[in-house]
Amino acid sequence: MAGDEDLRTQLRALTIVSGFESTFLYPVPVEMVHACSYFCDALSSLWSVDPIDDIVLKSEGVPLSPVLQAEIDWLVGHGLLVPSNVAYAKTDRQTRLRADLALNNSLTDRVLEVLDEDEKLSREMGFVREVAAALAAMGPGAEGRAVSSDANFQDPLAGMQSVLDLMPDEGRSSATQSALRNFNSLARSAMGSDLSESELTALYTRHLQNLVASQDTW
Amino acid sequence: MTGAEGSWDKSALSETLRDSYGAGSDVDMPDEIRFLHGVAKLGRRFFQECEEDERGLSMFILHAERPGELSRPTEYVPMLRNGRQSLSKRIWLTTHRVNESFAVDIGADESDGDVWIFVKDDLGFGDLPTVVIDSRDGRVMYHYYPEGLNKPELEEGKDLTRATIDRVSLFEAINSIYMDDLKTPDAQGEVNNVWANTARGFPSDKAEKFVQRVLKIGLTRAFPDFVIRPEQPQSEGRTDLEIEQQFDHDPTSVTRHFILEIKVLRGTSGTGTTIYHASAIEEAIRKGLGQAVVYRDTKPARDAVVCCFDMRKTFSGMAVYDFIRDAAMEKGVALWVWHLFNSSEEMRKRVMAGAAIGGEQAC
Repeated sequence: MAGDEDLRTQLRALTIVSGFESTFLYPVPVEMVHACSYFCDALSSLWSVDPIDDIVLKSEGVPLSPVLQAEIDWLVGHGLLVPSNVAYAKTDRQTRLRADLALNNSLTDRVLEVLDEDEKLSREMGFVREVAAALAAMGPGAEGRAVSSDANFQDPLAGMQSVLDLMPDEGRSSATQSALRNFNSLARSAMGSDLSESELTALYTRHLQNLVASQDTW
Repeated sequence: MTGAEGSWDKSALSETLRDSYGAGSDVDMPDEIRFLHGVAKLGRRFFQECEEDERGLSMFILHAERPGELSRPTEYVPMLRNGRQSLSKRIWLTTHRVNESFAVDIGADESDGDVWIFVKDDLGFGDLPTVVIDSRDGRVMYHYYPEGLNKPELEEGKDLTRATIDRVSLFEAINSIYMDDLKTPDAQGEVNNVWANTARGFPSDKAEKFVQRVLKIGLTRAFPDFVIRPEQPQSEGRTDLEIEQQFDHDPTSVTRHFILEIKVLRGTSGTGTTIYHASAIEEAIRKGLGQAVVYRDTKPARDAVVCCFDMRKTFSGMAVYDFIRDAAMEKGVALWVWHLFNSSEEMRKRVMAGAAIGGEQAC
């Protein structure tokens, strides 16, 4: 029987895939699902939601969450997610199965509808879907560049193979949290407005999009 | 851990903020409204700065799926908003976020009619929400077809180069929203409207939130090239709705055209156990006027309005403002009021008694 944490992670996976459903990147590659989950965790303090993985290893490529992958596998096994384009992916250390994922709408539509009726869950699902849509706009295969362009991964104080703490203790900030604070203080001084969580999320992902796009011109 | 240097330093973030101000302010709105808002903002920015030979017809169609094989080549443009693509003389198939898109060229010799026929007949997209931007003849006009080109009678259009909203336009827009979406429970929809109990006329605790949301959506539709922002926190408290526009010639500056102070006037609580007397109503309105003045002056904003939505059974119209009208005039704040009927039957009775349905205004 799935515990609360498992259910939360399953909901995260389903919401991410549903976020890609209204984009052109659908079915969504599983690597993009992991990338999206990473960004949701990086932004989780802004939305006062608990991350799935608050500690991430800074390495090449997209951080693949074993916790998330386990629940994706469960959802596939129980027919809520439909895999396609299944193949082996090789890295230096291992070979793993990868796939593109789509919702089995006959099972998931009603589940997501019911969950959306809860105000708190609906808010979190909306945030996750916005991050998914922003990543989709970077185009297929961009998840690696998106992650490497992220504030946490760009932080020179954190070398490769170091551990990134996405939710540091009070008194300290992650690079993402600092960037969000900077966006808000810039808005306040230049335009006299504080920004909402949605606006800060949109600015963060737009900045990421700009960084990824600038790499395309090199 | 401090913020990263280089690509995430303040000057880099400042550039993103300047280019993307207002992004994310519409995430709680229906996809069709986000689509209209996104196209209007994108179109306004592009066509006000483009070269003369880039002017022409552009069509944006809300099509949230990857298009199949079309009779013409398409170009995949993942980030339309980054400003690296010419928008002109193309048909854009895009999502509600108006970023990821597929572009189809409009031929140089194609007439408007040819384009319409191509979209409706060849593509079969005549029922999809569509925005046409026409930047010919020295103007930039948008035409929104909410149910597609197949229903031209529903078309709404405005000038994208306008730099301001006046009280007349704003009142008309809110009145239109009231008539379509607020005046009765039927107009509001069955679920989560302003009434806790329509039969007994008991207002919901969430009536202000509902009205604010309906107004935000409706005003975004009426003024898609402006940003409608709710409840901006300030040291003085929270405003209700602000109507803003980024300066085109100085993207670091924002013009606040209006502060809308929204008040819902209740006769009772949601359970009917608490009765609100006239003094409580007057206090709420007085507070609304004070808030409107303070926020207009401190933000600052060009203008301020107190919008009351009266949910009491007996509607007194502008008389509700009698005790404060002179003060509002002196402070330069407009006073507007609408009646929210608890049933269509009550509205019909009022019509039969010779009353006009709609907003009333002073100042």
